[in-house]
Amino acid sequence: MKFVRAGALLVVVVMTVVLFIGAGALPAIYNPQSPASTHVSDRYIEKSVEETGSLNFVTAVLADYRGYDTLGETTVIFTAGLAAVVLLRSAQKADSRGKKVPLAKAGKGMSERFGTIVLNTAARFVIPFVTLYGVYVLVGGGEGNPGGGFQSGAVLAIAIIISRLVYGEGAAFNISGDLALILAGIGTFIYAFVGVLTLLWGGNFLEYGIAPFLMSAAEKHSLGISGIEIGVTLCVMATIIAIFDALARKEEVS
Amino acid sequence: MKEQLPALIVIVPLLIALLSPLVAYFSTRLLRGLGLTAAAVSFVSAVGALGHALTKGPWHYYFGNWAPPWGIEYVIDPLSGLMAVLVSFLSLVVLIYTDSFLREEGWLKQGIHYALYLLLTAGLLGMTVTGDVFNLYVFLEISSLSAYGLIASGGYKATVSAFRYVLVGTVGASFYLLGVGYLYAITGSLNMADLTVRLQPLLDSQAVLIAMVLILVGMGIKMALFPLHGWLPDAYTYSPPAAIPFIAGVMTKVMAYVLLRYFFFIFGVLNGFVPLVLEVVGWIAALGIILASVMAIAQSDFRRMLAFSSVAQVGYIGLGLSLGNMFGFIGAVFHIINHAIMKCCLFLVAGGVKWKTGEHLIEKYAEMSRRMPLTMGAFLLGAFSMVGIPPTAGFFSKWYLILGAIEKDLWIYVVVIILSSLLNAIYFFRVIEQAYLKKAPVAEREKFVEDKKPELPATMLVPIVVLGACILVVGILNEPLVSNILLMAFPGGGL
Repeated sequence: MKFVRAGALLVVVVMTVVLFIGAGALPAIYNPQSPASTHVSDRYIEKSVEETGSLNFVTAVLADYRGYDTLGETTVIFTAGLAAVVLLRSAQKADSRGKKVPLAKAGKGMSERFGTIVLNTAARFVIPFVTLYGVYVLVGGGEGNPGGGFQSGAVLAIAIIISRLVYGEGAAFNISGDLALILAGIGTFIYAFVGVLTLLWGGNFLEYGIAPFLMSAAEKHSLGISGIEIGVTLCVMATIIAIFDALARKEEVS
Repeated sequence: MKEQLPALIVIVPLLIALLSPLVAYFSTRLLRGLGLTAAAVSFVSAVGALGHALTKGPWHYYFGNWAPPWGIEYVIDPLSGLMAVLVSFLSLVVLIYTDSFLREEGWLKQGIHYALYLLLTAGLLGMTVTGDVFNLYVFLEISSLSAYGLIASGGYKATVSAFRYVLVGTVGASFYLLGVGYLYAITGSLNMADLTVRLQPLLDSQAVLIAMVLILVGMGIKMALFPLHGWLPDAYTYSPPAAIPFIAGVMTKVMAYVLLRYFFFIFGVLNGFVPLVLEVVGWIAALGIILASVMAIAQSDFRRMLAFSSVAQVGYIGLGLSLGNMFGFIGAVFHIINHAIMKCCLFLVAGGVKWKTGEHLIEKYAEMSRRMPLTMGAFLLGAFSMVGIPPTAGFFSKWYLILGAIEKDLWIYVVVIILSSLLNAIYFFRVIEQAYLKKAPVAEREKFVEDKKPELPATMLVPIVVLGACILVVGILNEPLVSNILLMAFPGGGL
């Protein structure tokens, strides 16, 4: 064991040295003449407002120029949710030696209500505001402002998790783990379906400008970006809830 | 819709995967139908795209109609088209096979299984056809995560081996991403064709060397190149039989394809530090071939033996990559195809035997040839191909690897290939001896002589027989395959 640890330390030291030397070979971060600042970014910075209708050029790159990557990332979140649910639920069956050990002993507390008056009252006040803020992050600022689907989904999920923690599994404001998995799939599907629509209208996948609406190109792009942001929100929210549910649950998967 | 074929290869399985939990809730039969349809559409699209690439040249598809390097493009050239056909074909075949294992499960388990399986398919296909190095990373994540989930669904020991795979695999993916970060910092581009041009003046720089090593180590972990293979034996041994034939057959091969893409197309095998790095890869691969083959001999579990044999076979692909010449390239790509088909077939056989008898130990295979004649026939073809006996496919890829080694005067590699073929013969002969020559104990014998049921359900038997036949067909049709597709796939497009 000692030998292995010494080997691991050696690898870490060598990697650190190599990466430090390597960092010296790279252009400086804020250098305006570096390749990263001169090749593709000029168009993103100068043209994104007229080409994509987005005031924020990070959003323009993320949701439009490289929108297909973001579909992939949203799918990654959904996949991670599925994989986490499988891992957590089957981990309850056995440890490495094949002995039966319930993983989530603490889960018992999480599926029943806490039920103190302080918590109940506080939750009743907090949950509506958290929900409202989540929706505001999505639609209030629009995709022109910082924020968007990923953040909004996380905030909305928090509202539901608070409700679930305080009022227990029977809470009225709750989404069950199974339903959350289905919703996460539907959320990502909404994103992909925007792409399918553009295919059906005769364009390339996710070519927002092809939409047969009486709008300027920039407005069509804005509309497309709003559509995919809704999908992202739903996917992120539902995936977080599904993973939380898998962590907190005590019974076996059917 | 014909001009959308490159996108459909990936999009169709992705769409169905996203809806799988929903559809499973209403009807698992409908889900199975949709899943098979998606895999079939993907396969047909891949064949169409490959045909286009072979007759009319590389096919570029711009997502969102943004021209590269600003947007993301898919590029179907003969190499990526061929890989897409291979991946989607095996996905379809294994999906037909899985039904018997899943039928008894609840809707949620089936829904999750189909979702993860189709996501794995979409992820691997996305990696093969993309022309963008970051898009490749995104689909690498999709395929890796879904593979972790599929392996973990085997329960018990599978969960632990899947968790180890998660840790090691994440390190591998991070190395790859770091390498891409270096390339972006010095070129400002993520598009493969654009990178190729912009890297030309920089190939002697330290930054490129580091990027190259990071990508090599990252993908080396993912493809289980010796000595980075630690996660593989447990993951392959304990994962459920409904998923492992596809994972074992295709996943490491797609990672090997990525390395071929980088070293032969983006960096160029003769430039800068590349020959040096490739030489190191060659020696490591040669060592791995021998050591993993010896390890395979020591195994008593059939699946574990196949897993170590996978590490050895990935070494062959690494060897072909390291040769850096045309024969090496043809040998490596040919071996990717062969090994994908035969390893998939052998794991289908292992799953079939498990389904029939509940056994994975080689010593329990006695007289299996009488109990399951067709399955064992396919196994025999797969074993011959692994050893490299003509006219099975395995002989021809080894032949090209040997030609490549001779061209570079590396006779030691020729010795390694022949020696490891002998080792392969030893460990496969043990199984053949059990299945064809040994007599089963009397008690067991009475059981299966009474048994009048067919050896396996048709949905399991047909995939096994089809892949067994494929091993022969690819071997017999090796000449047209090499001269019409593999030569076209070589950078520069043939002679």
